Amino acid sequence: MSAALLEAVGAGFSYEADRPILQGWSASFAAGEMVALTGPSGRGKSTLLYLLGLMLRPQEGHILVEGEPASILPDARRSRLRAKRFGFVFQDAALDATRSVLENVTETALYRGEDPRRARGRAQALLDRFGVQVRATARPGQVSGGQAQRIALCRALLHEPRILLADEPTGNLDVDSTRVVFDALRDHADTGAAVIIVTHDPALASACDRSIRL
Amino acid sequence: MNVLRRVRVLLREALQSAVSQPVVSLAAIVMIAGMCSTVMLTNGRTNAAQQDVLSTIDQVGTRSIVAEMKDEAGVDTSVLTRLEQLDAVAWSGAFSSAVDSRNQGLGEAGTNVAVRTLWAADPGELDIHDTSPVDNAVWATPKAQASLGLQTASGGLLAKDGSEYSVVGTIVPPAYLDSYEPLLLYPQAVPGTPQKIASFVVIAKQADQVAALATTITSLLGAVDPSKVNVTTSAQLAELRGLVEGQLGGFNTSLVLLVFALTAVLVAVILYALVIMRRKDFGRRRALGATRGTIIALLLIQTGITAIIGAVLGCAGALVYLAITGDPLPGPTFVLATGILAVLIATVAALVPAIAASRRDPIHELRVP
Repeated sequence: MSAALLEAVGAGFSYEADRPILQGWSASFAAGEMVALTGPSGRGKSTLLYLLGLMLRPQEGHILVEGEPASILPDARRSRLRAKRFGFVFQDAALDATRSVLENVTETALYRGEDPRRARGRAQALLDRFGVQVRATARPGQVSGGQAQRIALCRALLHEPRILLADEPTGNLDVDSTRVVFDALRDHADTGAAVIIVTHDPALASACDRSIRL
Repeated sequence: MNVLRRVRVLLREALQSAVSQPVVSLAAIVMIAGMCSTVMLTNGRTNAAQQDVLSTIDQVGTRSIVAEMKDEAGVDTSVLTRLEQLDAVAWSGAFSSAVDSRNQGLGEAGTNVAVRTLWAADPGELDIHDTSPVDNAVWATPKAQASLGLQTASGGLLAKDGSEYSVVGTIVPPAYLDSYEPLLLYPQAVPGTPQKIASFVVIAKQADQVAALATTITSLLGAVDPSKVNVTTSAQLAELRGLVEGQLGGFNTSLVLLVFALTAVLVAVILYALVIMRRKDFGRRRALGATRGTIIALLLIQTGITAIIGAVLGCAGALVYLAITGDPLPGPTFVLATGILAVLIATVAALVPAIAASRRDPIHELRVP
């Protein structure tokens, strides 16, 4: 296993002062590793994922990205880091209903300072790879839940991020779509990325390299 | 990505956002078009009418100072050189005493009409723009042409001093030259050797400068006998002009401010509603890596685009309406200023909702069902 791409060092967080979600939590995630975060609802799995994804700042401890303390960076730098190094897959796909499928996939290019139009070729190749058989001009409302999640996956993989975070990516999917999504995450980890998945699915967790139970 | 390309990409993204949110975009366009047309149909119309009134007052000669002198006063064309040094002078020209002339074609039967030499650096003030290749070219007023029996502005003239002139054009004399009618003007450059003059006209840059300028001019005449010089001004008209401009202008400004302020509030409310409706969208953007600056820039540019469309439609619609109803049209400066101000106000009004959008918590918004 290679060096850690992402680390939590003594991370602590609470939404309310007397009810900590995490206390002194430490873990590291190496390149090429696929890790499942499991546990009952309300234990802070999603919160941990958002802390690791630099959307939240830990109230104690640090989040390190490739050895650098990233959680202490100002908001704009954390945002740029998210856009460049991270890929995100959310439970409900979180697509923009007013934009086309292709525009949804290329959206993050804008935040990386790239021209989204130049990313269309790569986006179309990803859509083809994951079998999204819809017109590129179709809106997310016109596709099934499984296809929406594959589109979200294409968006997350467009820039081949070093770290991919997925929050229950197969929670609402049928067996076939679950397999497509899992295989895509596995393949991405095999390219040398760290893939971290929050899941309630024991089968999915057991297929990962390791599980962390909260 | 360089700055220019980054701006272009943001522009395209904002345009796509505007197109993908037709209801909000349309509401903003209608609001801003309404603001512009309201301003144009109220203040624009008043402003145009005011300009018409001021123009009429100006035509009467609000800014003019006329000095007439007898021969023994000893004033010559060198006064023009001295007048040119004054900042408040927009134009000056001097006139010789009159020399009678007749239509050569009618011989002795023709009526005498006065020819006056006009010395001025720029005769364009009197609408004499052409440089005629004809020697001794003169410009005739319609009255002079009628008196000379000329059907068109062409014909040969013979003056009492034996000089011959050719009529080559028509001029419409301003009000301050009414007393010289019927009039023929023989335009000449200001001569190096001073020539005696019978009168001169000075046009002030501003109507409120007339009184002070008249006093200054008196000291610049270089007259041998100042008592033989009579300076007349339009100071009362200038005062009237100032009142018209001040009162109507002041009323206009208050109304414009009120309309713009109301529209700014409405635009801000519409955009705030947009931010509330699309809070999940802004949360997603933030989660995926959009900086707060990017969110603010996108919303401001989106507002700017809709504001430009609204301003163009509002101003154009109002101009068409005014043209159809035959009302006076506001000048291009007023139209342009209204449009630019509308776009600026809408964009500034969008700032607070844009900042609110940029501060949406991505975690909270992504959990909104």
